[in-house]
Parts: sequence; structure tokens; C-alpha cells
Amino acid sequence: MLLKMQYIRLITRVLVLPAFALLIGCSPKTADQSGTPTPTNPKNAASSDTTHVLVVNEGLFQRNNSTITLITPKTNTAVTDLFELKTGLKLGDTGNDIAVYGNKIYVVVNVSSYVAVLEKSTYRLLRQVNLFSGTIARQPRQIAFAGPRAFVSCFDGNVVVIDTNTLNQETVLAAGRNPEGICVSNNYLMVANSGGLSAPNFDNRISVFALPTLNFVGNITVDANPTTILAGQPNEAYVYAKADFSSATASWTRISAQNLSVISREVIPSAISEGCGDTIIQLRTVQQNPMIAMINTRTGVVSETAWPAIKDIQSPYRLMYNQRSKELWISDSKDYVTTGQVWRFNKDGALINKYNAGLNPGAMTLLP
Amino acid sequence: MPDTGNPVQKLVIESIGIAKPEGSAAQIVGNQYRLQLNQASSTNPTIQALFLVPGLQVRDYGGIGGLKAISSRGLGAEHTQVSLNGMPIGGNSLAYTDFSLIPSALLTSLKVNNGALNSARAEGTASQHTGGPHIDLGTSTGSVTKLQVGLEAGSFGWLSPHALGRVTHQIGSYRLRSHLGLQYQQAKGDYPFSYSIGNAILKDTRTNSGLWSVGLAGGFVFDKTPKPDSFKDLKHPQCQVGIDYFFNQSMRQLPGAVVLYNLYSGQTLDQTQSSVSAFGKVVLNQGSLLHFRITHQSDNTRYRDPAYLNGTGGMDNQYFWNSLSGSTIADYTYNGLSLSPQLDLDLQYLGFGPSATDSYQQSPKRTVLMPLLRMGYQPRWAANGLSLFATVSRWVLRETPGRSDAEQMQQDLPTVGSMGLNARILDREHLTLTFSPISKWHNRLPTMAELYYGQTAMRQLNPEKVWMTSLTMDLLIRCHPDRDNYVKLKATTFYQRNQDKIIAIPTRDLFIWSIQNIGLAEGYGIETFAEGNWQLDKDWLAHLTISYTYQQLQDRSNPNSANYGGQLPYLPVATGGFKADVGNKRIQLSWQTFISSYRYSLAQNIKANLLPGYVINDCSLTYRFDVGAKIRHQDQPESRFVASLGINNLIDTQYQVLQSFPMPGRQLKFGLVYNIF
Repeated sequence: MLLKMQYIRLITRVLVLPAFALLIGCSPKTADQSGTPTPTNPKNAASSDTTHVLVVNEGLFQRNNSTITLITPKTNTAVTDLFELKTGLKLGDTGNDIAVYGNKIYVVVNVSSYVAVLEKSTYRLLRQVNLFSGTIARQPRQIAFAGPRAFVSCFDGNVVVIDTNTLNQETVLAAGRNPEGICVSNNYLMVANSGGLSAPNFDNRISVFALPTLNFVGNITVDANPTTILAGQPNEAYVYAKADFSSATASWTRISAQNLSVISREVIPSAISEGCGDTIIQLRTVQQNPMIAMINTRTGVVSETAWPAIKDIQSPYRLMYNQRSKELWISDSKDYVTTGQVWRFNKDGALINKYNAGLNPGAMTLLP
Repeated sequence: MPDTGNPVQKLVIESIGIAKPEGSAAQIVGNQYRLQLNQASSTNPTIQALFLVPGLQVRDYGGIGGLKAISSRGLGAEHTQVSLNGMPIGGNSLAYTDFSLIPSALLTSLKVNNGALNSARAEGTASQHTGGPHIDLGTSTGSVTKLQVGLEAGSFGWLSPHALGRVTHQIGSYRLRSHLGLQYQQAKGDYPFSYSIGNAILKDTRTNSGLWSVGLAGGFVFDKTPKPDSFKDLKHPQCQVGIDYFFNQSMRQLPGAVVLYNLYSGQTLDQTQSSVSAFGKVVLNQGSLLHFRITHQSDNTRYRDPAYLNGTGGMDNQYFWNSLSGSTIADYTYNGLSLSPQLDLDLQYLGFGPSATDSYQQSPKRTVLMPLLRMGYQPRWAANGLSLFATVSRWVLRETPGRSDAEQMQQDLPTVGSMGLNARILDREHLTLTFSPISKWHNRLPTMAELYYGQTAMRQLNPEKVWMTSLTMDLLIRCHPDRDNYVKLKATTFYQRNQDKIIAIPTRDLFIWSIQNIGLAEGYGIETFAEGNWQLDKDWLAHLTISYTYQQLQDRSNPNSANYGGQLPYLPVATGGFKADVGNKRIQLSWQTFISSYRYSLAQNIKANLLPGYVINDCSLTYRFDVGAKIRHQDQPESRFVASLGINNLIDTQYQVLQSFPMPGRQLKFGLVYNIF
């Protein structure tokens, strides 16, 4: 029986909910480190001179087999398990997020409950920031940055603030149930509380904190099970929510942190979504034909383009869009129990190359 | 099996040669093994014996109280049927038995049959889930009055007292035999381990695998037959009725997986399981017999983890499962030809408790009607050297609330059956050689959990379909005309094809794992078992068993998949071991070694998924002695006291049966049994 129970736990705790990490936007995640909050969306600023792509492969729950793949587009090469190669250690269990900020790489490892901080130039392990409340794992989910701070949403209902210079934990902010998506929009830090670990009793609140004071401002109520939040116009954000796991539709809600209010709400197809700069990318299927939809968060304009080559991908899992080169990267999780691949397309939807990755290639980021 | 008084516990080949009808038509002989258990032992012989039965795998989640499920030849544990004195036990919505909750001190025998279709058997009801091995556990059901108490204690906070008794009342020409056993098991569960992950070696102490359980087994048999186990000599109609019951209450802190940098917490599992069964047997004459059994099983399970993530991810899931099954069998044998129609009916109901946070979606009810016809022929011209058998069954299934394609599962239930023969091709004074080819087709219905449990459930599942064909060769060499010296060899080759295998994978949609019928698994194997028995002198006996299994069972679902042709997950290519026992009426020394080859934790056979092989050594010393008056059973002499000392995992091997679940290291156990009378 335990076998089945483990499956159930795996589903409810790590696979179903983390799978919503597919919907987590805010990549690629590069920014300059500075002492003040950046004006718009530090995680989403794409680099024009990308030399590498980093992929965190989630692995499988309780298998300790999460890895990092380093892809070098210029040479069309991929190194699987960069972390073990450079540190001599295993990354751990269920890597959920990866971001480059300043001269550091941050890898969020959910079930192992820590953030691995690597030196960008050498991939040397600078610090293992363990995230525990006493002996209970916080289970970090995603990361966002503003000024000299990293904000890590954790399943235990909190956001851990890390000083990006000292890599010490500065403070812990109480949010809602099972925070997942997190973003910074000008003067506000916003956290999407999914409550997904209590499904179907989801949370539906966005917790808003002022920056740089970290004072709690209030909550904004959106649809149930908000998992993804992307910065939009200054002090605004877009929230992706999908109350029913099996529903064919979801919603994007535009919110104002300043007024703690909902500006607009739109029902959209349930699909893999990522944010990149001021664009939300969605992989939709229309009459069995794969389409890439791009939603401009500033203008609201939606464009849909057929990408027939995506049909060859067995299980599209995560997206990454390079705004400058207009290249689209899609990870393929195959059957979720075999090692996956990352596909690279040009702006016209033609395949440039595909690279071998680890088990369940998830979050991707550009590495300038 | 009644106690035999044989001082040495040993795993033996149960039967070699030809099936004997004995009033039960077409009794089927397959690969049958039996463990004789004469006294409580401090080395958990129940599970350990299963390690040495060729073809069986024990899936162990670690910890003293960790779940232990038995499977065979790459099939799921749902294919394994377990009974206690012929009564089905361990059933639940997941349809397999957890051996960690079996009160092993109460057992006196263990039989494993991995041969023909198990639903075709004279005891118990047909099972809608099996077709794999059948394991029958036997408790102390003999006719000699007995009362025994015992205590076992050991490392990791292990403490297990037990008491068992049996008594026979003679009421004129009738008699009532009753037996009852009670065992308590407790394990604190802390144990140190070291666990290699890449270049890192974790050393820690597991603190979350505690267990307590109470197991109770008993029954009554009422008959007027002087020798109720020997119907073949009867000249007049005889009858026998009885009741069996089994109850188990347990609470466990399940072992959590060892996660790098974070010792992941386990969950609490509370279970109440019970089986009660009424049975009867009427022998009309030597060739005709009627047999019935009605069984009620229940399982109340509560699975909790309220403190997970400081309560933000807590769960509390409670469900109730009930089953009422009945089986009626008639046997008729004439002139070597036997016919045995059987009709089984199984009703199941599943409900969930009010506290459930991740509950079953429905409260399903299932009715399965399983008519079965068995046929056997034992020609007289072959001088009992040949028997043939065949079985055929076609199930009728009804289920509510049903499914969108309600008729589909019924349509996907093909007729099942088995056929084979036993042929003795050599029968000399010192040498017997028997061949037994068997072919069987069977179904495994989706379990209630697979069909209805939360987001994982899939209502459109088809039954698993398994075709297995095997050839078994038995060789018996009697080495000494007077002493019980012999060598038995058993070798089985098999080919197996498993279609629509039911497993959980994340393909229902992109985000949610769900239960699916997945393609095809196919393969072959060879299972060998050798047994030697040497009567060294008047008092001393030596017994040696050696087993070896080689099996290649591979994923043949999708030629374009990276998994195609790969060995099934957690299925070692080779396993084996040996058990040596030396003893007399006072003392017995036992040694058991089990070896498992490497396995893969996932279907993709790559280095990253490789789990290393391991070797486990266990040993025990048992001493029988009397203080005061000896026990004078007429035909079964027993010592007043039995003391035992055992060490499991003697060399403290650090290993995992399942990835991330390190097994306990060396464990010391001490046991003392007192036979009051």
C-alpha cells in the first residue's frame, strides 16, 4: 500500500504542484546586481549575448537525482550534471528554479530544502543556504530579486529573504498557504499563494510586501490556486491561476499592488506558460495544432503563431524565450521517467538544435 | 500444517511428482515450497524464507515496520494472493498484503505455490487480482492441546510477546478443535545507516519507522471424522465445518525516504484489518466432495501527516474497505477423470472517512462473479505417473458508480485458464524425475485505488493480462535406504508476457500523475532450487537449500522509447542464496545468505538509475531445554523451553531495496518460548 501512498504523496506534494512550476514565469532570469531595486522586471531582462543556457532538471521525487545541464549554443554542446562535475556533490532532490543575479547563480532545490549559490564564472559552490524552520524543511519553490536581496518563496507559507552579498538569511516574511510564484514589480514584492498542498482547498491570495521596507501591505484575492505571477506595468503583475487541475481553462488576472485591486481578468486556455520580460508565452494547442501565443503585458495584444515543429516534442514541459534573439527554448520531459531534451527554435519556428538534458528538464535561464 | 516435532526448521520443496486427487479433483501441482516452522524464532523466518523462494521479490521500504510486499516475476504485488489457513487475508483497496504486519510468531508453516492458476484451488475463494504466486500461512491448528507463551526482544527497540493455544473437546463421536494466537509487535525504529549518494556518504540515524501492532489469529473446526485430514479412506459421508478469523491493529510511523540534505519525514499509518471466514467440507464418498467458504474482510486505514510543512501541507485520509466473498466447489472423480465446478462471488465496497483531505472520489461497489471449471485426468495405465489438468474461467463484472465506458472493462476481461501436465519420466528406487509444463492466462482487475483514488485515479483502466508458460523439472535422489538422506532439485524456466500493465505515470495530462495501462512487458527466466537433507546420525540432521533466479523481464512497449528493452525497475537480473541448518533435538544452528544483483530504479537502464547489489547474512542459534517435568505429547514431543539468539544482517551491510530507503543494519534478537503444556 505504501507504494500507492507514495505515489499519492508524490502527486499531491511534488509532482502536481511543482508541475505548476511549468507555469512559473519570470525567465530568463538575469539582472544586474545593484543596491536599489531595478525599475521593472529584473528576472526577465533577456540578454543579447547569451553564451550559455542553464537548465535545472527536476529529477523525480525522493530520488535525489536533480541535476543541472549547461548548454553552449555556439558549440551546440551540452554538459549534463554540471553541479556534480564542478562541486563533486549531488544537487539533491527536486530542483525547481534557477536564476542568474549579479555574479552568482541561484538554484532552488525544493525537497532538499536549500538554495545552492554558485559563482557565475567558475560554477564554484559559494554557499548552501539551508532553509529550515528548526528541523522542518521549508521547501523553497521559486526565487526573485530586488537590490541586494533574494526572495525565496517556500511551501511552508513563508518567503525567506537572503542577502545576496553575504548570502545570510536576513528575515522571513509570512505569506499565505504554499507560496509558489514570486515577482518584484517596482516597489512591491508579490507572492502567489497556491494552497496547492491542500487541494482542492486552494488558496487564492496574492501577498503584497513593500520594498525595501518589507512591510506587509495586504492581500489581493484572485482565482483559486494562483501559481504564477509575472511583473507587468510598474507596481502591477499578472497572475496565472488554475483552480481545477484537469480543467481546460485557466485565467490571467492583472492586479495592482498599489491599490491592492484586480484590474482585469481573462479566461484563457490552460497551457504551458512562461513570462519573459513584458511578454507571456503560451504553448497552446488549437485543433491539435501547436501554437505559440504571445501576450504583451503592456499592450494586452495577443498574437498566435502556428509552430508545427513542436509536434515532434513528446512532452513539452517548460519554455524560455530570448527576447533579443527571438529564439524559443522548449524542454521535453519525454515520459517523465526517462532523461529529457531541450529543443531550440528560431523565430520562425524552425528547429535549430536539440540538446540532451537530465530527468525532467525544468526551469531554464540564460547565462550571459 | 500441524507441528511435526522435527527439530530443524527448513525450507523444502513441497511436492515432487504427481498430483493425488484425494477426493479433490484436479489438484494442481506447481512450484510449491514449504517452510516448516516448529517454534518461534528470533530471525523472522517468514520473510527470510521468502527471499529464498525462487522468483519471489520482497519489496521493502526499510525500517522494522516498513511495508514489505511480495511480488513475482516482475508482476506487481497485486498478483500475489495471501491466505491464512486457507482464508484470504490482507485484502484492501490496494489489493496486496503487507507482510510486516503478519504475526510471524504464530505461524507454523508457510507454503508458496507459483504454479498454475491460483483461483483453481480447493481452499479459499478465487481472487480477482491474482494469477501470480499464492502464499498460504498456517498457524497452530493441530489436534494436540497446547499452550505456549513467548517473548522476543532485540535491537531497534524490538519487543514482541506472543501467546498461542489450542484445545480439542471431545463430544461423543464429535469433536471441536479450537486454536487462538495473539502477538504484539513493537519497534522504536531508530537505526543508524550510511547512504552513498554520488560522492557523498550520508550517515544518519533514522528516527521515523516506529511500529506497534497486535495480531490475532484463531479458529474452530467441528467434525466427526476421526482423521479429518485424510478423507481418502472414508467409506461414508463425512462433514466438517469451521470458522477462521484474523485481526490486526497497527499504528506505524512509516519510514520516510532519505533525501539529500533533508531527512524527509515519514507519515503515520493506522490500520485495522480483519478477516472472518466460515467454511465447510462434505465428503460424499471417496470421489465426491463439496466445499464452501464465506469470508468477510475489512480494512480501515487512516493515513496522516498533519504536521507536514508546519501544517500547511498536512493530510488526513481515511477510508474503509469491505469485501464479502463466497466460494463453492464440487469435486467428482471417476475412473481417473475428475471434474470440479467452482462458483465464486466477491462483493466489495469502499467508503472514506469524514476527515479525509484527499479522499476517494466515489464510494464504489464492485461485484465479480467468477465461475470456474477444473478438469483433471490421471490415467490408470500410466500407473500414477501422469496427470493432466485444465481450468477455464470467465468472470462477470459489475461496478458502480461505474465508468464512462461501463461495458469496456467487462469486454476486456478475456476468458482465463490454465493447462498442463505432470509426467514422471523416471521412477526408480533412488531416483525420481518429473516434468511439469504449465501454461496459464490470467487477469488482474484494476484495484479500487487505481480506479477511484483522488487525482491519480483512472476510470478507464483495463485489466492486466498475463500469459505465462513454464516448464518445471523435479529431481529427487534418495541417497540412503534407511536414513532420510536425499537431494531434491527443482528447475523452472518460464516465459511471461504482461499486457496492459497498470502503473502510475505522469501522462494523464502534463501535470498530473495518473494510473495507466502501459504497453507490454515480456521476458523469461530460470528459477532453480536445490535441497539436501542428511541424517548425520541418530540425532543430528543437516539441511541445506540453495536457490538461484535469473530473469530478464523487459519493457517492450514502445520501440522508440529509451526504455525499450530495459529491465523492469527494481527487478534484479539475478538473485540467490543459501540456508544451512544443523541440529538435533536440543540445538539448531542456522545460517542464511541472500544475494541480489544490481537493479535499476527506473525503466531507463542507465548508470544514473543503477542501484548496487548487496549481500545479507543472517544467523541464529536455537536451544531447547526442559526445566522440571517434560511435556509428554503422545505423538509430538516438545521441549518445555526454547531459547533463541539471532543476528540479522550480521556484517552490517548498508543497502537499499528501494532507492532512498536505507535498510537497517545489524540487528540482534533474543527469544524465549515457554510451552506450558
